[in-house]
Amino acid sequence: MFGKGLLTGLGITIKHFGKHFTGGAVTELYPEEKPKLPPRSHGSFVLDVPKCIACGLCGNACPNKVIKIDTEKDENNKRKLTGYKMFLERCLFCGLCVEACPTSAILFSPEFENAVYTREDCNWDMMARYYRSNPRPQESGAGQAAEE
Amino acid sequence: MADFRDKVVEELQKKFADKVEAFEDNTNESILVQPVALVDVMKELRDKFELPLLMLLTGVEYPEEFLAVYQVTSASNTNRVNVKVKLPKHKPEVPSIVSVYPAANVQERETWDLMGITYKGHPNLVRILCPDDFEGHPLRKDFKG
Amino acid sequence: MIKTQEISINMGPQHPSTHGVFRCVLQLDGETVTNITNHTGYLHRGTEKLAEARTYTQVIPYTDRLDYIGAMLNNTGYVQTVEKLMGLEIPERAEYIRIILQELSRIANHMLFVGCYALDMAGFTGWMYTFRDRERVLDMLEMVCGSRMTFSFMRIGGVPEDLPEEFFPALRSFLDDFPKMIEEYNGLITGNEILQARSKGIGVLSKEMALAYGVTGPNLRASGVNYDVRKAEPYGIYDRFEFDVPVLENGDCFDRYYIRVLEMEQSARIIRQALEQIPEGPIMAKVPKVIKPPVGEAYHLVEGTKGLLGYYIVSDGSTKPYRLHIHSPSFVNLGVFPEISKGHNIQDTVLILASIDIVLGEVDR
Repeated sequence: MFGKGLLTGLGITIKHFGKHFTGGAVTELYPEEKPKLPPRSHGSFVLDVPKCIACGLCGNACPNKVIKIDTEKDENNKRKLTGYKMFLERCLFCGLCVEACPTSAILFSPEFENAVYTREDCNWDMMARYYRSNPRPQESGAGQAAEE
Repeated sequence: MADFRDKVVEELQKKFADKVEAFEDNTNESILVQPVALVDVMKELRDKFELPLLMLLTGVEYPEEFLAVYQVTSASNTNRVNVKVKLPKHKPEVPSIVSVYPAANVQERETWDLMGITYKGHPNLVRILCPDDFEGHPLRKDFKG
Repeated sequence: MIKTQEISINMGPQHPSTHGVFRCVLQLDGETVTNITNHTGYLHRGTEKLAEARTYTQVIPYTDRLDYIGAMLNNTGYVQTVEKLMGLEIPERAEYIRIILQELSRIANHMLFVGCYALDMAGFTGWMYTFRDRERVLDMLEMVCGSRMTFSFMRIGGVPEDLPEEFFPALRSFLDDFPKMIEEYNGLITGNEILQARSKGIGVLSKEMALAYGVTGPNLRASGVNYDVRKAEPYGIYDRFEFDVPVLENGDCFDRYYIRVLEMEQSARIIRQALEQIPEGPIMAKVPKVIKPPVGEAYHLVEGTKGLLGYYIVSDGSTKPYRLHIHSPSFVNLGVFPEISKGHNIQDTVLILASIDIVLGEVDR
């Protein structure tokens, strides 16, 4: 009988009718309700500055030269991080830098709202971002460079 | 794999003499064909050796020459042959195999577009991926973007 | 005196049913298509050239951007080619993880296809259901890789991370619900008489033509050729699983649609077996820090979501590929589109294009 398939389909949709009111909805009310992303999500990057040994492996692993590191040698001839820039406009979020890091200093975070108004805002100063939420160390050097 | 290739070379040499020979590389699946015999060899591979699928058509630029690479495979077992044609650097030109494998139509256009190997006898050899007014062939080693 | 005249109409590049930036010029006699000219290249990014300037590992993220609907299979195809070139054996557990993720990716792709096929016929309801379920697959993949579409998860020699704890219950509950989902698709989309009336006998691709034009994957199997590399020449560990290769005979739009529904069921079957058999152990083989394959070449074919996906790598012994060629199934399958659309109505060409299942990231590379 022609139309039987149509009725079957209609039956399936009717079964789902009213689910929204009984709590079975699958849609989310973004942006009022933020989705809870899994911990591995490639949302944005965070740099744990004290952990960073300024080896530059992350920059070498990157396929697109996103990461630019500035270092200087201190009095003990030890390399020290003075600047860590990420040009996120060309970042593929592949995670090769995170994987390359021997001290897990650069990590992904599930924070995903990265929209900005200008192109320059895509260039992240990772040290400044770190010190925004963490107290700055007293001895100068690392902190001042991040302010630029 | 090498067994099948050797069988193919033996059979083909009966008909094409020295225009076909085994090509030694790490795959043991390759034969080297002279450009003049390419279309007939392809026809033979398709009909006699039952390799109806053209699964690879590309070109590689080596320092001394171009290599046009084809791979034809069977649609039921693991038989396959890599066909290679050596082309001189100054004039990379090879007969088109569209008449044997219609699948070659788009792939030859692509290889011409990107690598600059001319396929003689192709019905419509125009650019397919790059814009029509593009100059040069991007996959060549001397291409500067 | 009434005169008739053929007219040409541009479809695309910004047309919703070309599934991306693809333009074709339709030559029309009234409403009947007499000829089609494909114009591709709007999304050409030169992946093959870019790869020559990157190390073997750095190419992996670029393979995501080819077939971005089923990116996991692109990753696997590429890394398996490099592994073939280097003669690497990868650990058991990594193989199983690869199988599970590949087949999940295939399910996600086919769900999108099934939904979009209905959508191209203005069947919006069916699309909602497939996308609801595809969301669950993407959520699971996000748990594992952190990304929803561009995974970059495979590495040369294994996988970078193990499956997380919370992945297994999510996957089990998905597999439990899976038969019900297929039932809903069949009730809503497959069984719909309007869809059947519109797609049966449309765009028939004969067996001979499919082979001649190099059409592969589900499109080839819908035309009655039983050829699936997973069976014909098992790569990875596909030979350990029991699954059928669905083959349909007519080669029309409906068969090309329905074969994907059947394939989803087989993919779920493979995942169930893999989930039972998965051993404990390392997930990464012993790979040198700097990957330098020996001089030579390798060509490797995997059963991608759209057809046979091949990577041809020529190595000169350095850390960067000397030449990388991607044999993309969408690109080749698109070549047959003008041939099978001739003589059909203009609205049927939309359907035929949808049934071939192209993704423009892979066509243009």
